[in-house]
Amino acid sequence: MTSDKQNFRDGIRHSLPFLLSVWPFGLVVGTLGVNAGAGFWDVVLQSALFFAGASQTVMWELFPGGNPIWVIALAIFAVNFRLVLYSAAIGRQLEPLSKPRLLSALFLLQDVSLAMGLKRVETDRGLSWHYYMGLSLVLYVIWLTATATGAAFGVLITEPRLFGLDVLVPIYFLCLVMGFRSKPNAAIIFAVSASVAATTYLLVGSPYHIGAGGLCGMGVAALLAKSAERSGTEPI
Amino acid sequence: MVASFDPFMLQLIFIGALVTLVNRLAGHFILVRFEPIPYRVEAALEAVPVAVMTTLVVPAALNGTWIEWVALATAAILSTRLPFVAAVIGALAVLLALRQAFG
Repeated sequence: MTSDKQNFRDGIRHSLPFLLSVWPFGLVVGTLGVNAGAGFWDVVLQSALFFAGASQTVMWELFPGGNPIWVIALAIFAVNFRLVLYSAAIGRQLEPLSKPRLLSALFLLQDVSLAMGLKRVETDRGLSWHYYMGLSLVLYVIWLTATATGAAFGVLITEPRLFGLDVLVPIYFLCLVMGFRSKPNAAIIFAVSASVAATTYLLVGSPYHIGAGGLCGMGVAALLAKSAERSGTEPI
Repeated sequence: MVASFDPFMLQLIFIGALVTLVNRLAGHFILVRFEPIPYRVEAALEAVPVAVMTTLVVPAALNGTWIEWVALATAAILSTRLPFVAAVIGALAVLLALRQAFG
């Protein structure tokens, strides 16, 4: 059995490749905040409580426009809707846990912890709370540091395209998706999710492509699921 | 680095944080009410990483030119053969090289 300490260390180690994308993204979000009229501590507080870059970006985009709070809150909910699906997918893999441990894990849930956590489930070490927290806490600390740095100094990157920052995050997500290619019906789920998301993105717009594509991909997975696996384990 | 005490800003941050926390808790706490999980729901949950994260790549592909498409295709191909970081860096290198040459 792997010790808690070893699991925690594994989590920390597995978080490191993601710093390459989390750091510049955090710098940009922190800069966006002060440019939108926020103070340094507003940005830090937002990062500490949200820990969700896309929704933080949306908030700073909508804030200067004089939008009412409920409109901005709704936009944040829509951008973070994927976290509802992530939470359902990973919560039961982390259970059984004490309430404080479960809540701390779910509070830190984001894309990387979902993907790396579910990959860990398949290994013989399994997903433990310590692994998950090692992974997530590094990302949390780096996110706080990066957004604070962005807010304090501003980003001097005037041409994000030159550094590929605009496509770096999508490249990360695509590589994460590819890590799950051996899952049942992965290619069909990928195709359905991509085409529904593309259609929704073009006809309705962001962020509804995430929910629409995600739910349709999950729907196809449900339709194609065979109960054979389950009945196969039972004696005939 | 001046501390601001804009009450609207603080209200917005706390409400946005609350909404985000509800998102993070809802999925799990709704699901546990429906145990045992039917096999079709099980399959849908197993599909979450592929189904949801794929949609996060879509805008970059739609807004991109052939250069971005080649970079994304490189990422997909490299990640079947190389470790995760190597695939990301390889795809990024292809993107930057093509932008330098043709962008």
